Amino acid sequence: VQAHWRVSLGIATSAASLYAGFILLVTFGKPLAARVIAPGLSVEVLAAVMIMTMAWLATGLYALWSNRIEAQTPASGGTGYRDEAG
Amino acid sequence: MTTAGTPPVGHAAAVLVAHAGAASLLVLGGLVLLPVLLAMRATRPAAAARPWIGQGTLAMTGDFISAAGFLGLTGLVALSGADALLYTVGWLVAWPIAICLTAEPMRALGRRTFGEALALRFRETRIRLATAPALIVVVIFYLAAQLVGAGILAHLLFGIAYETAIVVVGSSIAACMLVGAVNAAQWVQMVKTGLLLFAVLALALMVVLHFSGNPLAVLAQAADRFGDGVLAPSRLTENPLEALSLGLANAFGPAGLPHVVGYFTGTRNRQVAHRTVFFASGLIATYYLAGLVVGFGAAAIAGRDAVTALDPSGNAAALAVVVALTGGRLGALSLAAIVAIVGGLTLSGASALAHDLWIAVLRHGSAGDTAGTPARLWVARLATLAVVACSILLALALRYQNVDFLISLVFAIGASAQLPALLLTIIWRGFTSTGAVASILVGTTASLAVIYGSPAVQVSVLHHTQAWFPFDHPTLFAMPLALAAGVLGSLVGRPEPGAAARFARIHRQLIEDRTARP
Repeated sequence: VQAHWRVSLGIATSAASLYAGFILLVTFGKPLAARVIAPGLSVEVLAAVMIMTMAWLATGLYALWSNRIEAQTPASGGTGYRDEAG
Repeated sequence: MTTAGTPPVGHAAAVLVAHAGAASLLVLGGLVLLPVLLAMRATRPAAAARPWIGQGTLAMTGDFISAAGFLGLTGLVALSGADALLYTVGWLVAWPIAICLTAEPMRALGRRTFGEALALRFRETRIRLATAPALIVVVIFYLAAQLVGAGILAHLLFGIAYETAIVVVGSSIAACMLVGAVNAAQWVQMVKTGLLLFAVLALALMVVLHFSGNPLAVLAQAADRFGDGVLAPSRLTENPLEALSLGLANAFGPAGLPHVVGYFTGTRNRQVAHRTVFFASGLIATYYLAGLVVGFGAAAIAGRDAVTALDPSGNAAALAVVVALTGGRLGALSLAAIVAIVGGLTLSGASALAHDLWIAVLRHGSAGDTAGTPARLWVARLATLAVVACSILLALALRYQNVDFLISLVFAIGASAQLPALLLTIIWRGFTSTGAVASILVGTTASLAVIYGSPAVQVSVLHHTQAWFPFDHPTLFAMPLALAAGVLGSLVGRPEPGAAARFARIHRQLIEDRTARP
């Protein structure tokens, strides 16, 4: 459970800091955010789409990690019956 | 989003009404009859023995997205350009945060609502009394957002007064509840998600095809028409504190509103829950990206003037793009999309009532026992009617607000009034019922006070020259206050008898959930 909380908090914090970075970019880095790198694509739009994708991948990463860890953890209580059921 | 005064019904809308004729009957059906019929037919619970994962994905997606959110988003994008990204990025980032911070523990504990989670540790009546206002305020704001969207669409499509439209849709939502939508809450969610995804993707497809299949060309055209400012930060980010406050609400609000991940917390099988959440957040990302394309399309094809001519709040941008693309002659695809959106508005309202209000009243803070006694059923019915009535009044007052702004207020209350108490309940041994009551009350009061004193209410709704408070978004102030109140209250108040044992049990349960095999 300790490890689980650490990973959970790590993922939540990194997602939050990505978003914080985005807010900083659009509030204090306006010239950079406004730069147009291709027709119709500015740094802000690119960053937004990338962070949205990364947030989705973070959710997926958590799901994958969580399911894999749980698959490896031996059943508690050692009743044995649960293992057979799985 | 802060314009006041009577808007001219745009030429485009007149064209639409003139050509809609028989089609408008269909839309009316989507708005009022379809949801009620669905609710009546679907009175059986949707829990199959081995549910297909797509069902869960659709239900979970439906817990989060709403029709009003789409209307507001397209309006924001059309009128403010890339500023709207502040909302969509926040809503996606909110997913890993909500899952990791609160949803996973709540699922492990088998609790679905805020009240249920607190009841794990605190048994006192005053806790229940304190949780009620926060819950009701959240439902009222959320419902009002759906009503504003529905009122504008109905007004523009049929030419009936906005006020009448709000009352009609509000009554239809109440009717859905009373004929049994609550028994099929998950089913209603799935239908709603299907309708909305279809509508948004259809509109996005129409827009992108108009630009020969290149989404970036849509943005480029919008920038050509209104300057590169469309793709850059502007009005919404002028004040860094305001942007931060909005960001906090968007990122942490969902974590404090367990119902937005209600399907997740209600699934006992971890592996399925985890897979479902991945698919669901993927669908949500798609939904918002498509919404952005439609919003930029509204600016590029219809133009900002056409959008504000329909409604100065921008909430009708999706309609403006349909009108511009079709010249008012609705094709089958665009008509179906509009019917789907209006149906989705009603269903969004009904499902929020079912999830948040009805089940909370019936369960009365304890898990299980959703059937409820006849007396509680009556309480739930009366509460539904009262909440719908309040939402109608609020929707009448907030007519010219962008609906995404209204939804961000819901998240603000979730982040301030509920998240601190919920987190402390799960992780802090020393948390007491006095702390919980203090945190909830301070969070709710502070959020509402800031919203009431904000420019959005004081200047645009009440027409005062000056606001009491310079900010529209309360989270930056209310959330730390609520957290501090929770800690202070816990240090001052005495622990409730038996609370320590219950905290220990919570932790045992969390550990068992981790280590037990599914």
